[in-house]
Amino acid sequence: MNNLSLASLRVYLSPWLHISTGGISLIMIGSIILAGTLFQINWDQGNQIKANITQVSAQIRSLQYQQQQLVNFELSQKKHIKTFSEFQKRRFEDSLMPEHIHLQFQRWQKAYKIESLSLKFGSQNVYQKDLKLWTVPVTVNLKLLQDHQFYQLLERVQQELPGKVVLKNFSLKRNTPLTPHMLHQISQGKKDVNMFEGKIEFDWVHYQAEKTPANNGKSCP
Amino acid sequence: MRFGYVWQVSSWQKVLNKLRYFCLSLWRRLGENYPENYFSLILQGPTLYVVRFVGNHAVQETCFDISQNDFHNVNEILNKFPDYPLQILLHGEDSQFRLVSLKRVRWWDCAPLLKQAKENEFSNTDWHQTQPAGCRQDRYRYLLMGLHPSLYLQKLIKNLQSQANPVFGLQLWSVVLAHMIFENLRQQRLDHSLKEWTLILHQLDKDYWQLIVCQNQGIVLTRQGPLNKTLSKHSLAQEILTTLRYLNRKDYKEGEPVTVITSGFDTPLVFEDIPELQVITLDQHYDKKTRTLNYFSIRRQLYSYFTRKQPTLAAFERPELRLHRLAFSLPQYFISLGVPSILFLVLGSFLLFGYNYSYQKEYAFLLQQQAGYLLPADIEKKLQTGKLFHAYQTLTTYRPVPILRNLVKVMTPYGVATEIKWHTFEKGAGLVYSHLDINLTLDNRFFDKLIHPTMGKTTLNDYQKKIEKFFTKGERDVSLQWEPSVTKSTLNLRVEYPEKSSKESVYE
Repeated sequence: MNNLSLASLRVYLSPWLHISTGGISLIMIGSIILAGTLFQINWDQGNQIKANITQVSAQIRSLQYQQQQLVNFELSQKKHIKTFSEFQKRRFEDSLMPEHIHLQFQRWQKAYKIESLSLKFGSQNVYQKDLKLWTVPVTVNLKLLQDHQFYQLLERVQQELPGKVVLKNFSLKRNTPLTPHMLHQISQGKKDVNMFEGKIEFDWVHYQAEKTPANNGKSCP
Repeated sequence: MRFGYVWQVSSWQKVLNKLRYFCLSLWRRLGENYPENYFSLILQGPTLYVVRFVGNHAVQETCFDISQNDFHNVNEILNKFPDYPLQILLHGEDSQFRLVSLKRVRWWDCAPLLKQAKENEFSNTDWHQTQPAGCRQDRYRYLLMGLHPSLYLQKLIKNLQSQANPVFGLQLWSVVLAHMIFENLRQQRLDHSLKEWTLILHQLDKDYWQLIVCQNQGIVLTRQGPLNKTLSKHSLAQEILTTLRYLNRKDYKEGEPVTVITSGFDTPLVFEDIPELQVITLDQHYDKKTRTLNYFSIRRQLYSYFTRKQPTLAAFERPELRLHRLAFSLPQYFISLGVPSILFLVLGSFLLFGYNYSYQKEYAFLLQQQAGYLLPADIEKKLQTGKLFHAYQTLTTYRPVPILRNLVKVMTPYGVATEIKWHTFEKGAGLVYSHLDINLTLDNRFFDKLIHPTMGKTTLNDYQKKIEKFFTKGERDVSLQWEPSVTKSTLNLRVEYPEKSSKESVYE
């Protein structure tokens, strides 16, 4: 076998050294590179346009969705005028802190002449993460002289407290047992004076732009 | 200045000459074949001719008597030009042709079946090759060619392998001749008039004729016989009839038109007795010693691409010879693969350009549509408010105060509540249920003994029913339970509200 000798290597090279074979091969390589580049450019451009189209259609879908949301909001606003005015009154879209309701309770204590009032905040939990809505369990312990003070406070808490109150539990108890004399007085429509102990537990749902963990488990006298 | 001008002219002439040479070379390459300098070894009967070609012209011819079995003289000539490729042309060697059809065979089964066919058709000592010979009716048809090498041919090949010269291939004169004739007809644009079955009848020698039978320009079989000068016309017509009768066993149908190409005869042949024959007479005399080495031309490559016709000419490939042949076929493959890939890329580019144009239009349309959406500047804030409002709406709670106030009206003056408890329990999956516990202290004076001045006589049972009615008035599913009390003067009531979703409210 003499195939792989130096002489045969020359034979392998000789067709390529010939001006026509070599020239045509070079032209072909050049043409392949040119055609390949052309193909590549078109291919890339096609991909780019497709990506752009996907992006723009996604944007258009988002715009359509936003527009739809806006229309829905406006319709709902018109349909539930009362609820919306309540929503605005309750400052539900404002960023609220536990200090807000603490101040409010202090004001109510003075207004209704409540003997003692203590507030206790539980640990803050997320209610809806995308909307930055948080929920805080709140416990209010009360000591009062008249039961209607409790009902008034409970109604105020549910109607006027900024944010939204989801009532969980409440209890109202007389400290001293009723005597037949007191019963007689109450049935006659006279003043029902007793020492009452009240407790209100509710979840306070509010919007808070930035969470402040310092408020967790805070107790106010 | 004058000298500079002359120099300029001569340098330009040199460049122009080079360019002219390059263009001429390319032009020749397109039309003609390459290489131009080579040896042609022709084995004919008891003689071996060694012909040296320079620039495609035979310049030296030497004859050897093969009975001597001595390659010394042959090697001497070859060693003078070790880089000249060798072409071996066999004239009258014992060769066989077979057509094998692999119609309705899956392409991945073709290779083993062809191998099996080769082993069945030819003996172990035969040299054979396969060539696709597709036609419209049967695209998976192959031509098997077998060659039974004589002892001298085997020795000659063995000797040539030890030489430096590359061996281009081993070809049969009948195959080369058929190819040359078809090439000639193609140049004269007569190939369209050829029928499916073509018979090439030519004078092999002074005393012999040869008949090459082709189907779709691929050789099916060859026959040869002595030339009887006195009865040549009659006997040759008889031979053709016998051959056609034999072809009935193959795909040929009786009465089907056949083309007969005659060449090399001194007197033109006429076959008036056989009406289905179409006769083409070629004046040209094909000489095996003066033919050029048919290596490859780009024009033929392109032609075979577009017409899907396989070249009739192919060399026998023996494993030992293949390596050298690769030297010549590699550029051929390179060019033949380059042409379709360039075509594919250019066509693909145009197609992509068209597609991109349509996509561009769509993109412009979408951009226009996007610009059409006019949303207020504070959209983000409004949407946030909208979402918060929706959340506010879904957040509902119990409001027991109004009902408790009314309850006081129902309870008094018969009883007074000492303890009120409201419990809401979460049951999971957004369900809540709640109950209200009321401890009542009764004013026993009103029941049975005394009649209330404004409300009349009331029993304890009536009082309980009155309270039950108050609770079940709005909510039908509410269940009430009077729990047993320690003393007569107290009553314990538990009001249980049914399970509800936390999104719904009992009172709102």
